[in-house]
Amino acid sequence: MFKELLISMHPKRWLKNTFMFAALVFGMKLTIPDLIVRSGLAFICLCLLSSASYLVNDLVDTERDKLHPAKRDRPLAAGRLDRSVALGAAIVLASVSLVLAFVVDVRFGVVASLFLTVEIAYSLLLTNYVILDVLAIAAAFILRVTSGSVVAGATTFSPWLYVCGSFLALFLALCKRRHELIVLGEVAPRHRKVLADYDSTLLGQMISVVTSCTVIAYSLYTFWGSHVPENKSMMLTIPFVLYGILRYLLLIQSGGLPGTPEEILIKDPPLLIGDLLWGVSVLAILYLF
Amino acid sequence: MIFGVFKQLLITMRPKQWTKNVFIFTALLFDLKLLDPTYVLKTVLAAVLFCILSGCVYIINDLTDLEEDRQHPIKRNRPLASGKLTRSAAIGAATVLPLCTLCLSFLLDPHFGLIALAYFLLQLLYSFGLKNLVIIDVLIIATGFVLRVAAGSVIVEAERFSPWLYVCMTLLALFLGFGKRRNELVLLDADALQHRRVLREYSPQLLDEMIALVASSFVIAYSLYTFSAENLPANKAMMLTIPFIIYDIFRYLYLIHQKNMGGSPEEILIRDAPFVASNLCWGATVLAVLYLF
Repeated sequence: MFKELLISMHPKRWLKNTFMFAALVFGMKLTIPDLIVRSGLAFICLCLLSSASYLVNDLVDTERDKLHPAKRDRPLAAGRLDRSVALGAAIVLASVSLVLAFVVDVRFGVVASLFLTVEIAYSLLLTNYVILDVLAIAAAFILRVTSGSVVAGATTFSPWLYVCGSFLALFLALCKRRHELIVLGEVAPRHRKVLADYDSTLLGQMISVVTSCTVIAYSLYTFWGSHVPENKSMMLTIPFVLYGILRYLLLIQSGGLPGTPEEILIKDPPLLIGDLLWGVSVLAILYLF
Repeated sequence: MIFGVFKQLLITMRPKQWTKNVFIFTALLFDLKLLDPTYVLKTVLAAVLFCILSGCVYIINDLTDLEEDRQHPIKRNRPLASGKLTRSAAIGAATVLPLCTLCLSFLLDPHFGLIALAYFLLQLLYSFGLKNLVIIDVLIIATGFVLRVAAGSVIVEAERFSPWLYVCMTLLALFLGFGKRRNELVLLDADALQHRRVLREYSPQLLDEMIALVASSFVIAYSLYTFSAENLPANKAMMLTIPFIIYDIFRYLYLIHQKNMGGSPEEILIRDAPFVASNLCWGATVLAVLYLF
């Protein structure tokens, strides 16, 4: 049963919560052990909170998931996990992690509560409204970044972090919709009502808007942001970001790939290498120069 | 009788299109002059003058297109084409009104007078030829919007009005302009093609690329404005308005693509409930951030 519960908590999606380390890395706090521990704790809180919301989501969508080619194997849809157990687990997870969050930092507690609210509101309601659905996903990402920034004891507000983070989040959310539309094809609206409101050209337009915004925001950050070295060497990381974004676009567009967009993100070797190189060069430039 | 003439004249002046002139209030709002009665009054006056000027352009436009309009299934019901408004009355109005309005504009503020004159001439040029030149047509529409913003900015003697807002305005106007062309093109029948020759030069793909280009530029320019313009609250609270702008742009794209709206921005501006709600939230947030923080 614990195994089924763990599966329903969608551990793969916890990857998204790594967004909260952005403030730690880009705020030059990665060398302070105390802050690393606090951020680690906060990360666990966010993972448990999002697990609670995934359980709620699967509980709400059980009937629809039974019709979906891949989702019908989920523990709840397949009947391997009891509904009451799932509900109980969701409540326990949410309360325990919220208490923990308030213990770590009161401000983080507030942000974490907001995060849970947005996630649940998305599952129950916002997922059915065109545009608002992707904005809600992006809002959750921003709250992750905010959590990290609060926990890392940031005293100044870094607009670049939020602007780049939000556009990237919107980019990922819209790509997810596009992927669903391509993979599910004609029957897409049966699985996700809101997909009836999107079409491929519309998504294409929205994606090109957020793609350009992400690229330009990141480029400007590399030479105008705070904490970037005087010699502008941060600009060296632009090509990796460009490659990552374009590669992901290509993978989503070609559509034939198995798995969810989250899986593509970690399973495509060239993308992975590009991301790693980006990560290494960011760390080197910020902390060695 | 005289009342009837005025009514027909007013219809010819297309009051619905006047909503575009709200952009004259941009500077009043963003330069924090909204609480100064003198500037409010002057700006309202300026907006009225702009409404009359743009109305005159429509009268002149209808006068020149008279014969064509008579053949058009819908346009033949226009006051001039249907004969409900006599030609001489229209010509009279088209001469007297612009002269009076421009004189008043110069009296109000010489700089404003110059901008009003430029606006009027530009609109005439548009009606008499530039609307047939591909790309230039949309650029002229955008220039019209920038002149409205500039007019508002001179009226309030703006000191802190940001160049960012001009950039945003231009891009937004281009977005609306290309959106309008796309809508016209999609809903096109052979008849419409005759009436707006320039549409033959555009294709939906080309327009989509242009729309994506100006939409992204607008979103990024607005985002940068919210945290890098001078004279905004130091706590960057203005960034809270970005989500509404993103929602608006996406909603507009959605209406263009899925609902085939977009032909008349002025109608979307008042008819689409989510769009209106988001705009109100945006406005309220901007006011709160600028005036309360």
